[in-house]
Amino acid sequence: MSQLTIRSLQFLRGERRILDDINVCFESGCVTAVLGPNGAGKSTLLASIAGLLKPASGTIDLDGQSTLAMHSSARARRIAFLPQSPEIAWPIDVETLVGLARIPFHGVTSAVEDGAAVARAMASTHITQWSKRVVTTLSGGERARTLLARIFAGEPEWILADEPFAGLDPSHQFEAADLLCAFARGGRGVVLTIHDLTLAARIADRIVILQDGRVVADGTPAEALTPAILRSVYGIDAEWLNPSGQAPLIAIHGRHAG
Amino acid sequence: MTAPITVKGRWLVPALLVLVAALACVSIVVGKVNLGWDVWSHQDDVSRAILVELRLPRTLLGIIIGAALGLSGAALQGYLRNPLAEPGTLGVSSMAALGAVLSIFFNVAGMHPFVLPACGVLGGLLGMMFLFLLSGMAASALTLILSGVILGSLAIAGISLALSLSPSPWAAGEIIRWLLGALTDRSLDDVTIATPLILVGSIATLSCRRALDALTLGEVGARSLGVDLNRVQWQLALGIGLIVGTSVAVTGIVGFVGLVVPHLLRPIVGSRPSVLLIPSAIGGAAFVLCGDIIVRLLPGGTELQLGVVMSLIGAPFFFALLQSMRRKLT
Amino acid sequence: MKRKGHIVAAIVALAGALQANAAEPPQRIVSLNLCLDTLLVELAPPERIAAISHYSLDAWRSPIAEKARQLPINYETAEEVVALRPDLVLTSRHSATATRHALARVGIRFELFDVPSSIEASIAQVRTVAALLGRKEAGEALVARIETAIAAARPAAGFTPLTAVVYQPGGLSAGIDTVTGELMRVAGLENIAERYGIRDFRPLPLELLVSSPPQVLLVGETSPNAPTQAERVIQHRALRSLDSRMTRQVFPVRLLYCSGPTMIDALGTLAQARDHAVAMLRAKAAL
Repeated sequence: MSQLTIRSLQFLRGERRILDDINVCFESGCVTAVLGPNGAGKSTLLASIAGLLKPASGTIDLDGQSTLAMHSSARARRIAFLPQSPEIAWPIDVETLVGLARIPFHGVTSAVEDGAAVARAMASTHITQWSKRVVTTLSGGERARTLLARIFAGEPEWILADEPFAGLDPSHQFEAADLLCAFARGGRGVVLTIHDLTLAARIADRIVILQDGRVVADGTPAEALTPAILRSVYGIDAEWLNPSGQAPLIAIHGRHAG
Repeated sequence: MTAPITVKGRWLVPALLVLVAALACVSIVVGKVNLGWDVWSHQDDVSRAILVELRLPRTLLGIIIGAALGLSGAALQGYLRNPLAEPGTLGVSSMAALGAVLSIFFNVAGMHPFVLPACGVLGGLLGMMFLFLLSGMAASALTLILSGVILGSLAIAGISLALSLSPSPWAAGEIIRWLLGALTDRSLDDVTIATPLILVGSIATLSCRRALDALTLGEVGARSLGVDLNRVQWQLALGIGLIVGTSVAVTGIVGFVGLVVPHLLRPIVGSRPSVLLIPSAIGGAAFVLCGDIIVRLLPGGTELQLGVVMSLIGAPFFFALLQSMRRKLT
Repeated sequence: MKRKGHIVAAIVALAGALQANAAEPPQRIVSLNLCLDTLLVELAPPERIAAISHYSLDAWRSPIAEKARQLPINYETAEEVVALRPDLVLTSRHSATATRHALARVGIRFELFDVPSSIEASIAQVRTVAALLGRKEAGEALVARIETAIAAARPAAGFTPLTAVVYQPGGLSAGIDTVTGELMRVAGLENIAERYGIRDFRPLPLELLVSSPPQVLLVGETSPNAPTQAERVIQHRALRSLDSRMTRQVFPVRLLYCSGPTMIDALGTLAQARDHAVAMLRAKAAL
């Protein structure tokens, strides 16, 4: 069981406090969704954990080891980051793209081991048949799947995904969600940011809600996505439909008046 | 992970090496004076002087500088994620020339043979730093090219001014020689100076190859793969600064090699940046040797500058490339 | 510049003769050309020189750089010339045509001279200019000095000429059809520029020079640091590797362009170069 412990994390941009005294502990084996209004600090939180941003103060520990003190390659091997709207600069083939995940492993694993990891990742995402296709010929949904394969090929302990479902149709959204959940079930950790409340309720085992850089809710979907919390955080009137059934739905009636 | 070269591309490096070897043989033999193929066995001091002191340095420099320019073009394209990038078009070569010329203007170039190339390297470094400053501000390809135009114009104006005002009486005639470089009449001394500097620069550049691959996923993606972009920036600036600065100091500005060669090789080896580096170097050597041979075969008393041939090939090429990439510009 | 000096000299002499009918010799003379400057400085007293061209100040290319510092200078523009109120302006074919036309429009008298392509033409030009300035005796004195220099520069009878080539920074060489070429012949140096197809003043490709080296290389001076490519080429390793069969002698570029009085210095330098070369080649053969 792996733990990502965040204590008293603060991130400043100029005068503004983007993250203000964040205390949260993520656990492996489950999918945690981070929600919140635009500008709440969700992306900043994930980027800080991935080592892309340097916080003003606070600690981020991975199983007791501070990620801020880790060498960047060592951290990259353990924590994978899928950014929002990822770019692919060159028309390379799918296999090469997935293979980029092994860059932090240079000098640590052999070429054979790298190739095996890539093959495994492509198999688990069912894209082996695309290995020679050029990435620019992929559709949006195919690209998303390929980029997930790229993340899996690094065989990290933790995946941080910033809005991995944005721009995907419902079928591809569920496809991506299934892959991430399967990854988490395998004993690793997944933390993702998301806007779709219903999807969050469906796939997340745990929900953390950020508002103005602070944690305002932390619990199961039922605990964290109550109408009262949704009203105070998003300013919307919402209710759960079919809460205990197979497919819970959070219906949004509209913006809260007053 | 070692770069998986597609089966199709595996023949490229050996083929290019054979090409360079063949062109080198031709380069040794071609010139105003007919040396004949048996020159290696029978030599009097005159043909030895031509062979060893004139043809050999010219051929060696063609290879070294061609390789350097090809490598720097491929590396810069990988870093900036843009196939239009090249030290010449982005103003780095012009800044290197300015650095070298200023050492003539301030009369320090004669103090030691390494002073002029060192000043060229400083100029190249400055050009690279300016480029990164601009690209670091998330500049689009259009902005980069415009900045190259501005840097290039500034440098050329500075070069013309410095050489016109230089105390050396022959400096004013050198302006065109700097702007359109040549391999004519270079000596083994030039080879001795250029080789170590370009070697160090090439090593620095090549050691960035994994970072260049990681940059395929963008700056955020690369950093999430553990790449220290700051360090890579400095390393690349140093590497390309050394390569371009030294080349320009020895021959003057020879443009478009770094633009044309990677573009020609991409369909064969693929677009992965690290895989392009070495083939672009070898291809660059072949390209420059070829151009220099053409220069010597053209009729006429004085030799045409190599930079002219390169521009005649490269400028239309650049234009065609621009056309095909119109949407990527903004 | 392949005009026969004779024809032009004749025309100018005619013009001069016509002018001579006018009152007295010119008192305010301006020259727009370096070589004409050298003539003017030799033939006319300083008080009659209104201005000489700025090219004379160039220490590298001007044979009269020292003297030029004491004289007024012009930068070849018509307005400067007009402001000087000259009664005679000496111009050459090299001078800007626009300037000459401007002078004609304003009504200032100017004389047009060619570049002499032989010693004889140069001597004729000296006499012409002297006549123009009303300084015939000074002219004859100069001609006498030139002829003495020519005689002094000739080698002993039966001397086998050494092959030689002029090689200035940038590879600039002089063909046999130039005054320098003729001076070399006088001094016992056979100019082999013809072998490389060099006529007039043209750059000589290094490879051609190396393929068929002369016995004497008349090399220009370089600035102390010699960083420009033009200067480096005359110190190329390829030339040094031919040391066993070729000797380098100094022939400054300022002796290259002008004839007239400059020929005296040039002949002296060439004779010295010949004597040094003979000594060196003898020494090398003895090794």
